[in-house]
Amino acid sequence: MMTDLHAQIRRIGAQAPIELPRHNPAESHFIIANDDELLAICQWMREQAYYFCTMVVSDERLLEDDSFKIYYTFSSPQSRLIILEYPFNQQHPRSYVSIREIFPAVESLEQEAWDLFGLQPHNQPLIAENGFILHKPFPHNLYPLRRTRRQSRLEDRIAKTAVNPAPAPGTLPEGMMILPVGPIHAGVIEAGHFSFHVAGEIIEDLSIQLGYKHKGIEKLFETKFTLATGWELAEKVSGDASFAHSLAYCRAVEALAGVNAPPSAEIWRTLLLELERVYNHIADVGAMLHDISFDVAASEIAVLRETAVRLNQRLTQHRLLRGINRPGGVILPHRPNLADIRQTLDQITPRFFELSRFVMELSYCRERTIATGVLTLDEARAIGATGLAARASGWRTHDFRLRHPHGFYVSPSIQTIIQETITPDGGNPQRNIPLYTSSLNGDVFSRLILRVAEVETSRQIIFEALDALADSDAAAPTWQPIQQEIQNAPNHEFGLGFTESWRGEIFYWVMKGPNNTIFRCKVRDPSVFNWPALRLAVIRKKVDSRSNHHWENILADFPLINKSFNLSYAGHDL
Amino acid sequence: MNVFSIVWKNFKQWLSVDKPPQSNAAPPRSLYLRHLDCGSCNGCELELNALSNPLYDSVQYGIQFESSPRHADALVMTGPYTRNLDEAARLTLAAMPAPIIITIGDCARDGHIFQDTYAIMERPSEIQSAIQQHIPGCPPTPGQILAALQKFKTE
Ligand code: SF4
Repeated sequence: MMTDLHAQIRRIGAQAPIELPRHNPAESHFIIANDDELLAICQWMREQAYYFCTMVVSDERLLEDDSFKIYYTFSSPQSRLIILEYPFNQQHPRSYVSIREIFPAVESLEQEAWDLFGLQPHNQPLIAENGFILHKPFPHNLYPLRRTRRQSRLEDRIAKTAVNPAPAPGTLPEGMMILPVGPIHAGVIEAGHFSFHVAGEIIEDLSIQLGYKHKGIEKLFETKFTLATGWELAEKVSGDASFAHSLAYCRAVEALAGVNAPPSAEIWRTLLLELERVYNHIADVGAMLHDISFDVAASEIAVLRETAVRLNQRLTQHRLLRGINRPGGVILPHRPNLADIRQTLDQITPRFFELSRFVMELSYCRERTIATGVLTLDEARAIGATGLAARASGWRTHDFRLRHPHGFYVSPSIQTIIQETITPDGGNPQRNIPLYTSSLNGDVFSRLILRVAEVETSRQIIFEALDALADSDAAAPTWQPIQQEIQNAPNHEFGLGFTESWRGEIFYWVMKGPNNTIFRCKVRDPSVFNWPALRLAVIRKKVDSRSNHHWENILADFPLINKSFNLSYAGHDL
Repeated sequence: MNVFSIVWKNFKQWLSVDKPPQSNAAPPRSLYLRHLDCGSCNGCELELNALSNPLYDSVQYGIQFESSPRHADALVMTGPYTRNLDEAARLTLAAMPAPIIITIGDCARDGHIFQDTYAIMERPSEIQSAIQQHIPGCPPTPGQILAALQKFKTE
């Protein structure tokens, strides 16, 4: 298919980049010949509003190409995924050309590549110390994800080495002080370190140090799991998005093997993914109300959340929806009771909307949340923020259920339902809640109301899925073994899997090794892109370049802003 | 009878009520906890958080989470113990009045699915020796956690 993209890439490339065939007609895979070509193509993509999805470093020095490679993935506005394969040039085997100037979202992944692979960009300042993912206890040049590093030898090296020197503290402007918080926090939360630069109460700047929870998951995929069993690890990457993670993983393996899950499996996947969204959004709304000290409503919402989680338990025998997804479909422990799903949602959602509506109109809720923690649309686009946070900043169509519909989401009725959430007010008289979605401007309030709106969207999608299940043949299989297809796929073939979790899109990039092992599995949780977005939402900044007005947040706003994003530490640190 | 004597009478009553009941029922005690994440997947945290919703309401049994290890009777530890958190974990334990740890979830027993990676380490002896109770599950349900904590509290 000769598209604009192909023509353009031909024009930019000095020697017409080689295009490789893909199973999936919606994917295009090009091999990039040199640095200039990569930058030129990226620049063009940026202008065409492409979205940067992920950067995967892969150590292929022992394969025929004999080099490290980077695979960049982009999502085009025309629902295509573009993969640019960029082999390192032989003269600079350890450094690559960075696209950070064009797509700033790549920065965290580049820092990660330095810690885990020892690769540096050559057109950016050198990353001096490791410390983004691997902190002091790890020796300098461990680079654990290189294929030449064996798990057991890594441990020996760590045991033998001394501790790295701590980085020297930077200098502070006059009148400012640093307030360090973490990594262990005063509540039941995950571990991460925040340094607030404050002048009085106002947060001037914030630096976020993560990596504390680094468990070496990507190495573990290579050493302990096969393509058929990797889902077990995928669902433990981030517990609150267990189903979405295992789904993205299974899709990647299915893409690699060139098969699709049976249609009824896709309906179940949609249904359970939306149930995961429902219980998490409800929990977050409750937690935000707790943070504005409205505990009466927060407690009641906590009960609704528990009711949803118990529904998960009844359906799948696991409260966090684990153990269901497999490459090739879903395996349900028993035939679920469809009426139960409908009844439980009918019990939860009206009360939830009633409470949310009540709270949204309370003056002290509005006072705390409106114009607090603003992430502007320009910022969200520039840094490549994702998921609900990006939509709440006004980037309404940034939803992979719309950008790249897959599985049951392609059905037109579901597309309409999702469209309605993002259509400013009054789109659908059937909707149970009045929403001020016309003013999604990136503050805490926008994220709060959008969560409420998305619960309603999910409810409608689930009901749609229930209807489809009722119409379909109950005896139809929801899983088919795909061992043979995996076996037949050529070695070092890769598959891309993604799904729109409640936090944003999750990407899995899985490459097959010999004997159905995993050669490389890159996990990209939405939190990776949204942690920098959180920082931007918190720090003091000008409202726009002309005025002298500033968005400001005080320290006490931070917990609320943090909750409104609710990012995963585990998914970031891997 | 003047006001003073009424107060005094009530006070005497109150004193007598405070005597521990002469039965087999466990004495009412409280258990203040501090959460310590050592690299969990955050599934265990979800269930710990669920303890404070009105359906489990652990506070009615005197079980609640504190914001400083200084105030806590026990640390509740989740996760397989990552190298990057080693220092913070030992500092947290050192800040406790008495070193008592309850481990939650299969990860905190032996690393579970995350065993044998370069980023997970064996727990240092001071942490290991402080562990007094383990609550298994991936994650354990709030009901299981609550039952185990109540039992721990009375022992
Ligand atoms: S025990 Fe299970 S739920 Fe708990 S942290 Fe480990 S993997 Fe997550």
